[in-house]
Amino acid sequence: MKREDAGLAALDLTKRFDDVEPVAGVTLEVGRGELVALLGSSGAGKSTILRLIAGHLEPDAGEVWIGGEPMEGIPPEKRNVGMVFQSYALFPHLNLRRNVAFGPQRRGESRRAARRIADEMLARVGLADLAGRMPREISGGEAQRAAVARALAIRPDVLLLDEPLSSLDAALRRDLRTQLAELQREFAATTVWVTHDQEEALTVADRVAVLHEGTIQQIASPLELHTRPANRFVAAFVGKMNLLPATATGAGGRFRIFFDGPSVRAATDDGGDPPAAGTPVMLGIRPEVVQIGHPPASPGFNSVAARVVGTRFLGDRLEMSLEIPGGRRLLARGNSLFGSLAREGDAVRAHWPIADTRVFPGRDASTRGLPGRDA
Amino acid sequence: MDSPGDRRRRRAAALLLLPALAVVGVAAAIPVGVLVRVSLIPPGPLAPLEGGPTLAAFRGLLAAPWAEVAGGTAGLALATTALTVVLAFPAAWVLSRATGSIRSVLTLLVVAPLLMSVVVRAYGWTLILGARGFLGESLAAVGLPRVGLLHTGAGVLIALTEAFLPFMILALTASLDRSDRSLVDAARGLGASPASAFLRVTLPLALPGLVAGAGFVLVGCLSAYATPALLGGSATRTLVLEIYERITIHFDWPAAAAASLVLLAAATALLTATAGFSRRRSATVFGG
Repeated sequence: MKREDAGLAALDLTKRFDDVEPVAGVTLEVGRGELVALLGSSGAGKSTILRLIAGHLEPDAGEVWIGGEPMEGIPPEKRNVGMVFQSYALFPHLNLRRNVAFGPQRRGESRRAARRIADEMLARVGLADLAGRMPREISGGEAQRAAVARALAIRPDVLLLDEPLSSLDAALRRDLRTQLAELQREFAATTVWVTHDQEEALTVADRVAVLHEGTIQQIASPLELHTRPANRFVAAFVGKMNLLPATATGAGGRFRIFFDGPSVRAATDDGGDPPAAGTPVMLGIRPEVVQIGHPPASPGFNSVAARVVGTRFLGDRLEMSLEIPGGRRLLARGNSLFGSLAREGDAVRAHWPIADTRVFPGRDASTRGLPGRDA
Repeated sequence: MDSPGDRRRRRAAALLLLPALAVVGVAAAIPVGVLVRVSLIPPGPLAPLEGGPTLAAFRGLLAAPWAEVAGGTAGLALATTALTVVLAFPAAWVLSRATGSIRSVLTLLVVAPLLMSVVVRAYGWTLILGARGFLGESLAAVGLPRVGLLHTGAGVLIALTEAFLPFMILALTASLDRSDRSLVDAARGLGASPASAFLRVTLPLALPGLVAGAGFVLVGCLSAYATPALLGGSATRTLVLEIYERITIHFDWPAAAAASLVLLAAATALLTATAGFSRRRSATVFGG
């Protein structure tokens, strides 16, 4: 995608601070009308990126392009960027109608026209009855929708959502998530949606950019992010991933896990060269792909001996903790496990598709900076 | 709904307030009572403190020079208030954005002048503002006419502004502290220029503090004595100076008492109105 064609292009953005989360060379291109989720834990630099795009901060290096135009030196009020703040930032001294009318009026609409736009937007987000209320007189969910209405009322070229749902309770969050994604599609706004909630990111976004310590680790569709994480950080951050230290034993994508027993095979189908023999690596295996019981007939599976050391019932699925030779733990999760009837202490065999065995360079098991991730 | 606990707490509060109320009663109520009594005596130079009661002293306030002096005093108070607002806003803005030790140091700098008597500060200003002072000498040094502001209204205005600036800064800072920092960014993003964002967002949100501070400064100026007395000379007549002269030169105690009571009533009304507005506005915007 060329910067001229992208709805939004952040190119090699860099911003350093003494006390605020830094951004180190972030490149992010969002197609016109596309929704990209910016996923990262707190302190990863998400809010800083939004402030750089909106023009509230000037980057130390790098460029922001909006709708094919470079934004250097252009102040926020000339950028046509709609932003929903984490705190919503509704003007506390104005009622909802005047909050939403604020943007259109600053952009040259008459007072009457601005109010009409405000009433339309408020009706669109289901707040028509509350137009005369003050921000402190409405609930968090209503404030969130009012903030979205206000951001969309200026028909923005780019819509920025800074943790738009983080201060709401779980049930409301799921409801509003869907509504917000629908609004985004309806307005076809080029959107960056910042969140620390991976489920939120994977559900709403066309593509997800995973941010860690000020740099983007991977930008990919939700499915690709889950099945083909670019590195160990993404693998561990998005969903759950078993990470097992191993040593490469030779060509053909064969690896030996560090325990007694048959070596396993891993997919090296993503174009890269397989690591040389003797190279320390980490194997990544999603719990969802691990099955137990009789080995499948097809040859495309790895299979190891295992012992069940714990089971956890997750409602619609079962999670099983397996001990494999060498004292390593392998987590399996899925509804097919119900059929195995295996109980704690049982010796079983665990298998998973070779194609779903990811390989990451290095054997440092640390995933520093990872939030406690336990699905 | 009154629970026994509420009643007990209220009784305890009343007891705790008692010493302060006693002091106020002795130190304010009794003198005011005396003032009322004196104000009802027939006024005049060297008036004997007997006779009446009559409202003649209050009627006398409608004649010269009171109206003119009252107008001048109000003008001075309003000008001082306006100047403190203009000067205090940027300082309060910086202070409300500062954190940690920087904020502590800045706050200390703001309140440090309050540790000094206004009389001392007024003398300081005489050294600065005189034609033979810092100001005059500086002007002369660069070849400009040697001008001093001592014994002018401008000099009093400058010194009063300096005296009351800390209060206005603190009042504005309290208001600015309460508003979300994202609000200005939000306004800018929606299309407001920096000036427009200030006028439409920052200023309205600072209004509770601004009005409370203005009330305080206005009343402070109306009742200021030392600064106008030391810096104003004969050029500046304020109500307080006029009252003082009535007592010490004309020995017209009834007129002075009547003027004092009017001043007291005006100050009370101003403080009540500004504090009330500030509280209501704060409740509308911030929810209490």
